[in-house]
Amino acid sequence: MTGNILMFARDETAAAAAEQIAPPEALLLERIFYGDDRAFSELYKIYAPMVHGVILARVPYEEVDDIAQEVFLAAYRNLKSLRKSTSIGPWLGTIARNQVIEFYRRSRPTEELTDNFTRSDNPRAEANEILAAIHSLPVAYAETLVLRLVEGMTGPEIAKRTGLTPDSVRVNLHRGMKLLREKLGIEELEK
Amino acid sequence: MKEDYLWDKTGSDESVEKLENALRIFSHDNDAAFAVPVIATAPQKWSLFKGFRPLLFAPASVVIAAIAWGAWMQASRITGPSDVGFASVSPIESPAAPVIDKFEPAVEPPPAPAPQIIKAAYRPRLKKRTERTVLRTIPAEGPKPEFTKEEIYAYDQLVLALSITSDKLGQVREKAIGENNNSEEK
Repeated sequence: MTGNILMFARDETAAAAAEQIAPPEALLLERIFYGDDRAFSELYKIYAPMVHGVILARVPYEEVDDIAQEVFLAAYRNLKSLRKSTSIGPWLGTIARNQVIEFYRRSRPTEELTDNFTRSDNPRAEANEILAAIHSLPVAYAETLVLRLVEGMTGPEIAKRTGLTPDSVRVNLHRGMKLLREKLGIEELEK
Repeated sequence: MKEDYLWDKTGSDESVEKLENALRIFSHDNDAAFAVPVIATAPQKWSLFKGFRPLLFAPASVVIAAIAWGAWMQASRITGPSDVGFASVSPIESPAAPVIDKFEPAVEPPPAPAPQIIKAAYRPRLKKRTERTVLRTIPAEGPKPEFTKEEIYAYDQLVLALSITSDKLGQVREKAIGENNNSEEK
C-alpha cells in the first residue's frame, strides 16, 4: 500500500516535471502529430497575431488574411519538417516572409490607392497613413512596430514569438519608433 | 515612463497610445479560426506502405534484373545457330572437324554446306564470350569420323602413358608432402 502511494507520488512528480520541461507548444505539436486537428487550431490562435503582423508589415491590409491562411496551410502540410518545438515561431515567420515574396512575385504591379481615396474615408484615413509610414521603414523595424502597435504584443512577447533576442526587439522598437515619429511629424513630448 | 510603455506597456506614452488606437483596426481578429482543409489532411495520414516503400524497390530491381538476364540469354541462343560461320572460320572448334586431324580419316566427311559459310561472311563479329557460348551450344552434326585400328591403338597407348605418368606424379607428390610434414614435426 505504501509502495503504491509512493509510486503514485513519483508518477505525479514526473508528470509535473514533464509539464514544466515541455512548453505548451511541444504538447500541442505532439497532439498535432497524433492527428488532433483541434491542436492545430490552438496553435493557430497562439501564432496567428504574429504571422498577421509579419505579413502586415510588408503587404497592404486587404491581402493579409489570404496570405496568413496560406502560411498556416503550408505549415500544416510541412509540420513534419519541424523538429524543435521551440522554433515554431521563427519557422512560421520564415514561411510568412516567403509567402509575401511569393505574393509579390505572382501579383502584377499595381498602383496603391493613396491620399485621394483614403482621405474620403476619415476614420480609416489616419490608420492608412500611419501604416504607409510604417511600410516605408526598414523591414526589421516595420515588423517589430506592427507587432507592437497593431497586434498589441509587448516587447518580451515579440521576442518569444519571433525568436529574436529581447535586446534586438528593444533596439528595433526604439529606432523604428524614432523614425516613425519623424515620418509622421510627431514630437516626443517627454525625454 | 515612456520607454517602458513602448517595451512592456508599463506607464504611459500618449503618442504611442494614439498610434495603437489608430492602428487597432488592422489587428488580427482573434475570433477567427483556422479551417483545416480536407485536402491538407491527406499527407498527414500515416501509412505503413509509405514507410516501407524503399524496401519494395529491392525485389522489384531483382525481378527486372532476372528478366533482363533471361532476355539476354534468349537473344544469345537465337543468334547462335546462324553463327555457324565462326565455327567454320576456326577449324579446331568446328563440329564437322575431327578432334585428331593429323591422321587422315578413312572416310572423308561430307563438306559443310556452302550456304552457311557464305551467310557467316556477312554476319557481324560477336564478342568473344558470345562466341564461346554459341560454340558450346552448337550440337554436333554430320557423320562421326571412323578411325583405323592403328589410330585406335595409338590412342589407347597414349591414354595408358598418360595414366602411368599421372600415377608417377602422384607418388612424387605424396613423397614430397610426407617429407615436408616430417621436417615440420622435427
